[in-house]
Amino acid sequence: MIENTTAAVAAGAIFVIAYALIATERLHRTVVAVAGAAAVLVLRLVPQEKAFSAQHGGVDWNVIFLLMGMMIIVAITRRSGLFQWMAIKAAKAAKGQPVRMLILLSAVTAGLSAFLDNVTTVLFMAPITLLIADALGIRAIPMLVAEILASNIGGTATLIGDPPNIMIGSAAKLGFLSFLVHLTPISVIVFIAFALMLVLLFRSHLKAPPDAMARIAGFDETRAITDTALCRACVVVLALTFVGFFFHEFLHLEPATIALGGAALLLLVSRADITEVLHEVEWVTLIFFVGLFVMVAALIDTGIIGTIAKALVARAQHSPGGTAIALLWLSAFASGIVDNIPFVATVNPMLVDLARELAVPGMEPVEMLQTPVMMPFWWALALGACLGGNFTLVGASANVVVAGIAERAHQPIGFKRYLGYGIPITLLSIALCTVYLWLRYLL
Amino acid sequence: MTREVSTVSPDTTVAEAALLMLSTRHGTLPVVDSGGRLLGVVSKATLVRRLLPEYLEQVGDLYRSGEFEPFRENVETVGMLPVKDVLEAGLPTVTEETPLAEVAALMITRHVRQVPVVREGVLVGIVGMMDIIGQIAWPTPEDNPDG
Repeated sequence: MIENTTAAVAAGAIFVIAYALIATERLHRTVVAVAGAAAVLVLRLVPQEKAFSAQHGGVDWNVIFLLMGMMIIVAITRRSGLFQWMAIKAAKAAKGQPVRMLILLSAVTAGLSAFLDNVTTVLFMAPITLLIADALGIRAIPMLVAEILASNIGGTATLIGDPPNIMIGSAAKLGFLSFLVHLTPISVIVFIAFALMLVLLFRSHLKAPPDAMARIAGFDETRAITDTALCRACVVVLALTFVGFFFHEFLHLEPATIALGGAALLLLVSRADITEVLHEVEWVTLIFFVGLFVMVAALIDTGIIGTIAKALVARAQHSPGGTAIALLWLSAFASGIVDNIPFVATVNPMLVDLARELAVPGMEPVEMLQTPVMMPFWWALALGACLGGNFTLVGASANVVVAGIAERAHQPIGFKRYLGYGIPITLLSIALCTVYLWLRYLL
Repeated sequence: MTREVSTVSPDTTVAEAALLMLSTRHGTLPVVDSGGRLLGVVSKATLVRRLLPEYLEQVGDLYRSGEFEPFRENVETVGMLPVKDVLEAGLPTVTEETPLAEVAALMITRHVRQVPVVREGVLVGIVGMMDIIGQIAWPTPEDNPDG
């Protein structure tokens, strides 16, 4: 597999150093990714045309354009106040009762995170939560912690919920419906278990006087809507986009095409200022993905990924179930410590190689990726990478964002205090996933 | 520029500073140490912002939806804080030699109505938007009743 040892060592070393720098946050992760990409290209560890091509294991433009399309849609919808309206509606439905509010706000966060970027979801949920906690005269921390956990659980449920799923869907050619059929049920189960734990953990902390609860009823959610016409346009385009996702396989359109179509339509009907909208697209994250893909392309081209995959084949043939479960736990722990994106970017090509090795001659490429042996591997990676983000306060970007908002509001969550909730809930959810994978795919 | 400036010391309470604002009608009070060195300013906007939560800008009009305990509490407690806890440091300052056009530009680009005038870090006066408005009213120095 490895033809040029020097090249392989160089590509491996660049990747390990980059990974360590990203994990220790000594440099911004995007700077690390761009520098790593430049290094492998300058040293000719991978030819540029391969590095920039998805077919050759390079930049997966399906991932980039899907993320960009959704970011544009969200940037425009956010201005309409639609999401805030939903949050206030949920709070009012809870009739101001803190425990019910905790569950309902978590449910809204999880539901929105399933379709939107988790960071975006918590960016508008957290301020509303602080407002509600103030109105109730209670501390906001339980609700903020619950929202962090809920956003990562909700993000697990769909193809577009969390970047690891987008990457896995693209690598394994698994569509929106596949994720809905395979990951949504377990995400719902995990959410229910999480909600029960919330009640147990926080029931005694959350008490509000009746007059404060009545204050919640006084909230006027229509004040959240800043532009009614825009709000209507956003609802229609969002609905169309989701219908597009549901049927993308029948339409023979990639998810990225659907997202771009939705973004284009919303830009046209909303007449939003393109410069302002593009300002809100997270180019920093998108460039991080591009850099990472180029670095991984060098790992593929020098044969490192292939060599590791070979080692995996022996294990997978000996005990496919055990290997898939091991991948689930490894992904969860890895994502708790480092960003889950580089982890998934590295494991994806290994699984593609594994699929090739395990294939029966004459199989179509897509068929090969989705054999009954391969399916638990993809779902194990997705579940581990998405839910593992809940382990620590730095496990996922959404966690970091909420921690920042809480700190500015003088209600710091605290790394250690978070672990008290993060560890038990993540262990419980990964244990549930283990049972689910076993019962559904490995028995 | 005004040379007779009402100032407060860092240990003055916010309540005392607020009273001084009311009696002098000055919206911005420079905070100076015992040697007259400028430490920062405390302004009407700083104090009002202090009563409101950090997330105000993110929730927009929803904040109007109810009566909030924290607001009332803040109104009661902010007065007891020393000025040094609320002052804004690092705002632009000018010297007596700074051209008026530059002062005017600072006010607009940095969103300040009053700019402290310092000489080697020591406060010597304050220049406000009204000083610039005065230039419009009396373009030539001879017309200016203040001289």
